[in-house]
Amino acid sequence: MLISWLFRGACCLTLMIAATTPMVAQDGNERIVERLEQLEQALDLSPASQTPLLSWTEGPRDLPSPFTFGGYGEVHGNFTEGSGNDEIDIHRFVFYMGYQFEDWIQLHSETEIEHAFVSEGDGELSIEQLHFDFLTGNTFNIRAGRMLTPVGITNLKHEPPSFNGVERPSFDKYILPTTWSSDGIGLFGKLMSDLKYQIYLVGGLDGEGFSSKNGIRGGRIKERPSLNEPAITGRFDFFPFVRLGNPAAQTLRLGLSGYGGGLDNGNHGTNPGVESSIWLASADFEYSVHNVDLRGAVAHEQISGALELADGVASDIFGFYLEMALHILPDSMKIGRFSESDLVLFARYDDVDTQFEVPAGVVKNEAGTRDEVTLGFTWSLTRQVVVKGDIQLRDDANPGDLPTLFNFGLGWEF
Amino acid sequence: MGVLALRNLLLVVLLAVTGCVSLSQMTMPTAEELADCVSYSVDLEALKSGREIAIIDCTDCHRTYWPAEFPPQAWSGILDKMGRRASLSEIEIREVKLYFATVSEFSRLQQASPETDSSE
Repeated sequence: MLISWLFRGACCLTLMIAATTPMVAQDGNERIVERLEQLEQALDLSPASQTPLLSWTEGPRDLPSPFTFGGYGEVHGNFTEGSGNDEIDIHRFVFYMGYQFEDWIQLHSETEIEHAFVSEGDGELSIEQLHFDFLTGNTFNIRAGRMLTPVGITNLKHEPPSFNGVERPSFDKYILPTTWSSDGIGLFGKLMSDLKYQIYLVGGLDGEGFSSKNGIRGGRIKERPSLNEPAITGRFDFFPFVRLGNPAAQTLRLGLSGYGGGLDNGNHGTNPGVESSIWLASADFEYSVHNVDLRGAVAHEQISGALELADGVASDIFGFYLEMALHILPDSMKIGRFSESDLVLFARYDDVDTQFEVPAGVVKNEAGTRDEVTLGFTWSLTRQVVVKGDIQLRDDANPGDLPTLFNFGLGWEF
Repeated sequence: MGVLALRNLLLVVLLAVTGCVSLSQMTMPTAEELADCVSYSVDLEALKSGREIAIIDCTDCHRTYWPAEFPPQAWSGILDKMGRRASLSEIEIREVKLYFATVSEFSRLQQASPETDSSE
């Protein structure tokens, strides 16, 4: 209660003084100093106080707890045109727990339940992430355990408020299948202030899980992946304009990622005995300027020895998507309970071809060549809770259109 | 399907081109722009570093959160938690806190006095 009133008092005092006194040159500077000093006092409320804002270089921070808790989840309502396949789906419930053993030793974990109930062939309870980060400096930090395979956008950034659309893009289901975790060890950090990297040696994919329609999605080993033919995976992220003062370009991110290795890997160390390998290359970008967000990704996968795998598995898989989103809620409407609200309209085009090229003598599965237009909205009630809705217009290489999908969802993260 | 999809896409594009929505919160001013407004010895390098961390490290797992989206006091607790999840060092957490809180405070002061040019 006391903290709440002190906060309100600091805000009122700030607004009163700001509204009544013009900020001109020296007077303005003095007032800003005064406001920042009040900000320091407002921040410095707990007995185990944090270092004041303006003297942040003095002494270590006192953290209240080495634990960090969080999570995210999604509930979907999926309706298919002309069919009886409509359903409500508690699609994901994910719990994050982190622990800081020392300043340079951190544990990160995520446990996930999918589709509310685990039964024969459906539902899932799994460890999505469980890794240690050993922070040695800016450039060469070590990560070991189960981490998110660093390819594409959505595999790394998949909390519901972080992407548009009720379901994840089809590109991120069949080309770079999220959520894709890999077990291994590697390095991450910054090579320059505007260039980040990650590179890991990890347990590989199970080629026997590939299919003509779903691509490599079924090759992810979620329990105890074999180390028979490990893979190497990594990415670079480049921010070309971060050091410029041009606000129109400052948030541009360009990404390049890859994955490669053998496919003779199974669960529990029991390997399928296939002679096959995969090399994957992907590029992606994100760019936000004023009220417009743009993002897109492209990926090409080359599978050697595809004939040894399941019937119809392609030798080349290709896909891309492009999305534009527009923030339309004016500041004047962000008041009261909706002070943190936002409303986004978006459009996305997915082109997914898990049958881009097939080995000689293999007949293409026309269902593997598909495209999709998704139009929808994301209404952020707060920064952490979103209501979503979209319509998905789909087509594949078979004659006629696929049924249109109508999706609604509630998502959150904390 | 193709004609309908193209029509809908065109509608979205038109909205993007013609929409004139005031969204002054979506900005990350440079350290130099902030330093121009104060006369005390703010650590310019710390603000620069904080801004780079905000753009580069704070978008690993989620969308860009603009400093003005939360009040200055809120950023301390948010960044204590998020800094750990992003495996930031103690110094990096301090720097990004400084940046977010400073920009948030300036943004609120500027919105409260929109006729004042604080860069003078």
